[in-house]
Amino acid sequence: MLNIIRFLRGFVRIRVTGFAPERFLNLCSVHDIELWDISVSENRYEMNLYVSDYFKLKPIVHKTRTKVVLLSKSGLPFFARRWKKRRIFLLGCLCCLLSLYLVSQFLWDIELTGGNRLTKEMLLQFLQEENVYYGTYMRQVDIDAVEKKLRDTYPFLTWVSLRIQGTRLYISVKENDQLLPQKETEKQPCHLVATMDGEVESIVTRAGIPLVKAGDTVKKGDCLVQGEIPVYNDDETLKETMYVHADADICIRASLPYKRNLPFAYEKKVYTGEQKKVWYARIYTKSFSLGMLPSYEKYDIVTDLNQAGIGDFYLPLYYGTITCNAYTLENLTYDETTAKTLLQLQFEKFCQTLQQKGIQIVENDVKIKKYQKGMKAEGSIWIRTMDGEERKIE
Amino acid sequence: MKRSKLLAQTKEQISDTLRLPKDLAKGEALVSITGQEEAFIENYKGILECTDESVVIATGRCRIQFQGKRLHVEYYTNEEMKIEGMIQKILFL
Repeated sequence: MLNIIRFLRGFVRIRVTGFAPERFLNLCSVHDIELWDISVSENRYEMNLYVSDYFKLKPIVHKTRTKVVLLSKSGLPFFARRWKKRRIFLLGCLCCLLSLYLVSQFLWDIELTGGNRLTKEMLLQFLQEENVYYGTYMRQVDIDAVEKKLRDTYPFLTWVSLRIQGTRLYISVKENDQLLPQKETEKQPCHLVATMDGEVESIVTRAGIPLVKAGDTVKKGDCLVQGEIPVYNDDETLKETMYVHADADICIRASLPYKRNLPFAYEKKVYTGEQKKVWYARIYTKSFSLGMLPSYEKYDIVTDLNQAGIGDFYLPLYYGTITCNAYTLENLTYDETTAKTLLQLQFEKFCQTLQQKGIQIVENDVKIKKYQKGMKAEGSIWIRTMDGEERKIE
Repeated sequence: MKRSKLLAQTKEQISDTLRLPKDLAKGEALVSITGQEEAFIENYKGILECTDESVVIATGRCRIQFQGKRLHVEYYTNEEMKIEGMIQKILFL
């Protein structure tokens, strides 16, 4: 603190020589002139004193017959005088500090920890709806309200904590590991309709009137189980119509057409090894590269981006590099065996995907044939699957 | 001479009865020492000598000499001064 006061008031270092420098010190003390950092070497006294006190020294010097030499000047008055000519530079520094202060009043980063089911994308969308996004004025953010809303919107969150540190918003959440019981949705009256062409293998109806039986051929969109049940009187006149939520297990055998072509000729990316790195910067949403992009005919771009900041004080400034890897396209051809293997692999993958969806493959007549420009796999796959899509009764 | 001695004695008695601090009543110097490297002095009259190895200070009753190495006055005001360096001896002359 004392040093700051000394700097603000400005001080000088002087050297006192002569017959009785001690007397000089004592007279200074009598005249309330503060001295500090007094050092002595070979009868030469060096000391610091305030600028204002320096001008009071004349009678003391005269009285003690000493000689005072000014060694150095320090502090704000001298500094300001020196920088008077560089007013614009100082103004620039001040503007820089001011803009840094202004920028620090906004939110520039959001970090989520502990989210498993709650992804960052979900969170950002939620925050956007709550008017919290990159660039929001921090004092506008009502942390308690956002916390409460977040808990209410996502009931699987058992604990939510929001805090702002620097220009960053930290969101910590804890999720409930156990699955929440699904709400029983009120069942609306509906029919069950076919989603594909095929043959009914079996049908077990729990609610509704079955309109098809095992062995029947159905077409896409046909009603399989009716949810509208007419109730007749004894004289076979219609008494009323009951509407139920049709429910049944319907197993359908259907055929799926399969066709894939693989031309012998194909293009392959061959990297030439030529590479160019260009610095890249982004300020808020405006981005620009700090250099010329290469003039390669074809190239891949790999962007590496970092956010600028010190500790928790993040700025809306991103920097990084763009790496351009040049490549050429080479025309190659598959031989017959390779093409056949590739098509087979493709077909196996397709079958696996079907099985993963719970569709049973009964048989297939897919054959791989050669045509003019390449190979093709063509045929049908016979599948067995549970069918029946709900269609609301109007 | 006798009169001044009597006056001094009376002064001392009064200050003892009123339990006044000695430095206030008799104008004695106050020397506070922190370790071997710092000394604060109050109630002095002035510096008589100031070198690397010795600092002599005039007080109301006597002179105090600080002997040591690399001695220097950190600050010097009308009320207080601070001596820094390796203090080896303090003599009352």
